[in-house]
Amino acid sequence: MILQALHGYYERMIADPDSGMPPYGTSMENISFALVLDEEGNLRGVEDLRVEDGKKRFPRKMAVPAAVTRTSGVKANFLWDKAAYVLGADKSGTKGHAPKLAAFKELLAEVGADVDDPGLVAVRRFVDNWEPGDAETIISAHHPWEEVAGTNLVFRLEGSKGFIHARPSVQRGWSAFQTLSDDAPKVQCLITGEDNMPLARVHTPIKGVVGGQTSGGYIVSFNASAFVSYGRDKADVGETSAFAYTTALNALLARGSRQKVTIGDMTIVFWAERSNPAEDFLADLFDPAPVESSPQSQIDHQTTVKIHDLLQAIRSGGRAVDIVPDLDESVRFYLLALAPNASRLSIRFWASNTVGDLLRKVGRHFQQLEIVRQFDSDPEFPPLWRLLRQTAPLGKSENISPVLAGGMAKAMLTGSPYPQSLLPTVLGRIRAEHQVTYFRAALIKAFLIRNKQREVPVSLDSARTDRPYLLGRLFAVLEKAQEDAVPGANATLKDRYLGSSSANPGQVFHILLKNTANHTAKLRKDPEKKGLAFNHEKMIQEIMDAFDDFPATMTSEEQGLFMIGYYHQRKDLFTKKTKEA
Amino acid sequence: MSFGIKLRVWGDYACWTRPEMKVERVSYDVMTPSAARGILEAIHWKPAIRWVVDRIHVLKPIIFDNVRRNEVSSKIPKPNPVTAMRDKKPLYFLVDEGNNRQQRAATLLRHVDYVIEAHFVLTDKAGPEDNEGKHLDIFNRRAKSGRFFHQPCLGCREFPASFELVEGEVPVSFYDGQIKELGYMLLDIDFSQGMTPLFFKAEMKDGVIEPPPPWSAEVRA
Repeated sequence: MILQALHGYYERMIADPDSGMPPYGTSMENISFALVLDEEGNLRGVEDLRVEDGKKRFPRKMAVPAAVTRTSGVKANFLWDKAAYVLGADKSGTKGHAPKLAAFKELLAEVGADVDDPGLVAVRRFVDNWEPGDAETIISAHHPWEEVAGTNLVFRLEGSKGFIHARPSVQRGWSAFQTLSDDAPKVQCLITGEDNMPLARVHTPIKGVVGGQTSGGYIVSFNASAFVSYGRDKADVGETSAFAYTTALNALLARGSRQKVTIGDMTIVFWAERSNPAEDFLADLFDPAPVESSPQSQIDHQTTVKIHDLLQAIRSGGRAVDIVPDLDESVRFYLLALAPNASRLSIRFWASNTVGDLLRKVGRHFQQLEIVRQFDSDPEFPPLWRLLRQTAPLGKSENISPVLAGGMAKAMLTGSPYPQSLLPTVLGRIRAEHQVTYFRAALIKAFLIRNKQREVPVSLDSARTDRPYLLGRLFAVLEKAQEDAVPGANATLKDRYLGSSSANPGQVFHILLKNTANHTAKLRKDPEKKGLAFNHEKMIQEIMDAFDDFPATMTSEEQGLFMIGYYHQRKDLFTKKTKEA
Repeated sequence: MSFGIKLRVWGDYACWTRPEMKVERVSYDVMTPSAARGILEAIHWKPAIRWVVDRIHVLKPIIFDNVRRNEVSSKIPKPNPVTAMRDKKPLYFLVDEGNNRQQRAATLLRHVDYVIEAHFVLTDKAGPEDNEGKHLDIFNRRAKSGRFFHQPCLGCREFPASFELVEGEVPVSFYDGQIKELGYMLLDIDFSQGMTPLFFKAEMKDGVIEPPPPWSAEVRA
């Protein structure tokens, strides 16, 4: 399932020569410099391969002979490696690097024994004559040693194009060496089903998962004895299949990949079975930029508008094809959410769906979230990370519950119910901060609709007669009466009673109503505010007409409706005022 | 006379761990044939018989869920119980030693419901007193009254399976009328060949998976 789909993605990408997907036997590595040699193995120059991005220079990604997995101990790579291996010296000097240089030399001799290539011969001559002690002085003649010392190096033969590791005869020699040295047991590969495949003993680590170790984590690993059953401490995955799925996943997770998003502590990657424009814009659906404040550049602005149009279309149940004409809705789409866990990667969720269905699910999510905005600056399509921050203490993303974040992303993408903890968490935040914000109201609304099958309107519904909603509205009016009568009060009704009036209306509301009688009385004495007092009393009367008594307690579901009623009514009170002004 | 049986098993949680992702567990979409065999063996098994799973019906939709559990990272080394038994000493295994803890996440299944269709064959360990009718009767009697040798489970011991004998028709699956490819799935482990796992290409048709017989060409694709 997951590995099969990643394997399929690799095969799709390798078929496209422009994809930059490295073929089997190679890997993409960060290379900074090339040592230029003549045929005699003399160093003729140091070529800077780094690419400039802004003010900084970054190593170039390059397909090189596959990297060995180096956790501890000395293992050299073929024809490329860190300066400590290639030159036997780094910033800290030559100490302890002699075995590394020896390993590098030995591998060259082993692979190069049957390879007749002037480039490889040059490298062998170069390392044979190399004195690690002179590294700093010799390299410094061409390039500052400090910059070269910590980086990965490759070789180039003077006067010929390309790098030595890329010369066809060298590559042939490398793949012959790999097959020869492969004494792995033969198994039936559980990704491709092929029989008699050499078993992959170590899978390449997966890099780029947020919060994971920089050296990468493993999806397939058996790193403790309790994880082994039937004496098998390796999964039956063929070497080529293991290479394919790890390479594909690493490419999806690479820096600057358009096919990943991070939410809370997890990283979601997505890809389609066949090439599909949805791969390009799905990340934007997670974090839609508001149209007004989108970047000034014309292209960015156009994209933002397009995403906005697309979101509007799918929210109202329209077809995405009308906005993105080249979208094939029947293509299968895969979503994989990963989170690091003790040098391993755990799979938070995995979903495969058609593009059309996926977009419909996202549309339904935004439709259920839709609620009247508190301020015009509030985003019309709330990004998931902003919603989640509203559930965390101090609004900090590191305080977001990982379980909640995973459940929310899953609910958005797969249409499953929102996590059960969502409502209590949001109510808890409201109680703690005395604030029913746009995002919180939206979350409650979506939760009540999807998980509780309640009907919740987008904006104030004055014909609605269920008690929690009315109580919420009533509270908003009472608060307004206080604000008008006692402007700038230190602690308002909301600060003191928002939580308790939603949980125990029977105990609290009679106090509030008594207070309000005082507030309206005060307003009535002021000739300028007499009308206000009349207005408030009329509204209170209208709302209270619809029910007889105050319930002693309300369930969290009813409390949610209370908050929605409060939010709607409050928004409505202020909307009217601005109209009158 | 047919020696087939139909057993319905269900439970709140299930995890048919994929062998490649068995540390951070990820479940297969449906019950594997060897897991079905394990459930039948929990109810009735003797060396004289070998269970063969014919069909697995998936009645309810496949729903995944995610949990984290604290588990241990080591097993009791094999020599320890051996010497403990030999020397008649008590056996210690300090489970709660701090370094022995591992938090593991599991992507598992919720609310599963299956019908296992299976039959058994007599093995060469069957003596003159063994015959098919006898074992079939024993199984049916035990399954009907809910008896088992050890609690049948849905992939992990923590997820007990409820079961009942199906005597009438198998209920219609949620996936009736659909074909779903499930990829390569563990068929069983070949204990005669040094515990070699066998895989087969699983396809769910109308909610039914028909595992091929082991050692068939289909298994060694």
